[in-house]
Amino acid sequence: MAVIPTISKKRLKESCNRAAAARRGEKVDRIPNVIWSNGAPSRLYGYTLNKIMDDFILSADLMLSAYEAWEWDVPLFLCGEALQNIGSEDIGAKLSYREDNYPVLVEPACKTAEEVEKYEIPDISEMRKRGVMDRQFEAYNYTRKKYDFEPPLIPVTLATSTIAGNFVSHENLLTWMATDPSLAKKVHEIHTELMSMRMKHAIEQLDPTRPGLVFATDFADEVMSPKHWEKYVLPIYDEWAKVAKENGFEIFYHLCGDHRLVFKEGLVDRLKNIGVLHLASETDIKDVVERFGGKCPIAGNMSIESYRFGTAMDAYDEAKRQVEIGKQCEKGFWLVAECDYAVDTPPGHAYAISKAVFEHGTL
Amino acid sequence: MTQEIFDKLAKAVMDGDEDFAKNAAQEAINSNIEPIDAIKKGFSTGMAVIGEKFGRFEVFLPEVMLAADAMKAGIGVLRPHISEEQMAKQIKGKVVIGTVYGDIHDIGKNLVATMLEVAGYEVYDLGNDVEPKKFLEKVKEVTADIVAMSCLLTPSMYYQKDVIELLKEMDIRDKIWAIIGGSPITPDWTKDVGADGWGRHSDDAVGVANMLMENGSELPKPVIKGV
Repeated sequence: MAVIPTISKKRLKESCNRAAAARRGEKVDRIPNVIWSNGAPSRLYGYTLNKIMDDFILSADLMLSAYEAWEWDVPLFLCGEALQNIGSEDIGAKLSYREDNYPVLVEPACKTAEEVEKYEIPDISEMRKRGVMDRQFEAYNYTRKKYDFEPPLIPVTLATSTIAGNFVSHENLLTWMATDPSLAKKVHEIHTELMSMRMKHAIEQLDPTRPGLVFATDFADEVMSPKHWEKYVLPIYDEWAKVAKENGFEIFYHLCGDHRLVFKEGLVDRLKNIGVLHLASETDIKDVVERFGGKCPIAGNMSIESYRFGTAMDAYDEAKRQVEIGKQCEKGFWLVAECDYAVDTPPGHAYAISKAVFEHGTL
Repeated sequence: MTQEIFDKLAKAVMDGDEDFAKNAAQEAINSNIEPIDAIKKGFSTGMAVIGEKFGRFEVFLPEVMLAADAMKAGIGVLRPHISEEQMAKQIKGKVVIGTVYGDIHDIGKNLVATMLEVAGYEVYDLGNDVEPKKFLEKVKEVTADIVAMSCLLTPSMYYQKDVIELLKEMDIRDKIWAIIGGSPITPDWTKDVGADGWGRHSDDAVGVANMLMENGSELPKPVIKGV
């Protein structure tokens, strides 16, 4: 296996402070680069995805090392669980693990309306036995102590509707949304309760630190209408935002996939307790900044087309465009890709992004 | 009267109402309407409207799924009244479709399969997590005209290329159109892997398939729809 280089604690601390200050809307020396990726660092050092998803501590070390090599700031900490369909195992779904790929759902927890009716929410200790969430916090605490830094973010409830879909199968969930709204609502209510338990547990584990809690939704335009989003997704976020706020946490909203309609209909405006707002690349960053730049910190959204499939120069140009727009944000801006940074992005592109931030992101 | 029944068939699909679709199909048969006409002028008309609305974000995946289910239910009533010869004449082409190896995301793939089927293609759906050689085996077995590969996970994208390489190795690349799609798949990637077509949405996939089947050999590749 590849040797992991030394990680500079000083640099890491500076990076974390920069990201945290930008999130608070304070003056910083330059736009922070808070792209997240577990997969690309694992590939950089010759590890399979399965290996890092089995060993979150190794994953954290690899990630921080890669970030140092690429001169990126600080990542979302820690994506390992997210890549394991966060929460799906906790609720009784079965995943399949591959040698060098992300795990995928093979069996939902419930397949029929009757099974949903009979479903009993497991207690938190049972969820912990099934799932991977405590391994995430173990790695989080290990890394904090080892490198003496405070990560700005931690994922808690990623892929909201994917998990609800993993609970009953996506086909069932979508069909019920159209044919049996009360059953679809029930599925989402069970999901809300399960994930609220998770979140409360996460909050206990994180205390006294206060990283931003990452919430994500990935079902939007095409898959569900704005009306469905309002009916099924927004109440989940309301509930979780309440729990987070009561405990002194802010939320990083990661609206993955095409959310243009949800954005246009004004539903994003109804999200509560926004720590950072992150919409995927379908929504132009200019529009996001124009509407929300004076209200909350914004995360950029470099598209996979620009940084992965283009040349290093394309990656540079898009990063430059994003930071130039981001500089107009009154409440702070992070440079971020539209989602998890693609695993096989050429390493040179990662440095091209840094170069753009250094050359154009100075404030 | 005939037009009234066609309208009913279309409406059944647009409403996603399986029972209504079956009843309307039975009414078409009772009224001596050619079952093929019932499909083309009734159900397909309704599905085309749904497809257009889907492209304009006026309806969404749950509604499309219901529409497709209604159409399938209605066709189930009509099918026994259509001869094999008539059916064969209606088929635009044979498509082998699947989500590539390592990936089980199939919402998009299922939708494309359904849209192709209702557009008149004979679809062989291999499901998800399909190894490259399985695509090849099925392509050879059914003498497919199109192989369609879907993918959502980026580490699995390379299997789209593997399938295309296998087609070359088996010396059948020039006998089949290879089309790809999925959330991370871009026109640039389509060019990189040497595929013949890409569509952003499911109805774009049907458009790409139609263009390739109609005059693919004359078109510059890849054919791109829905950028």
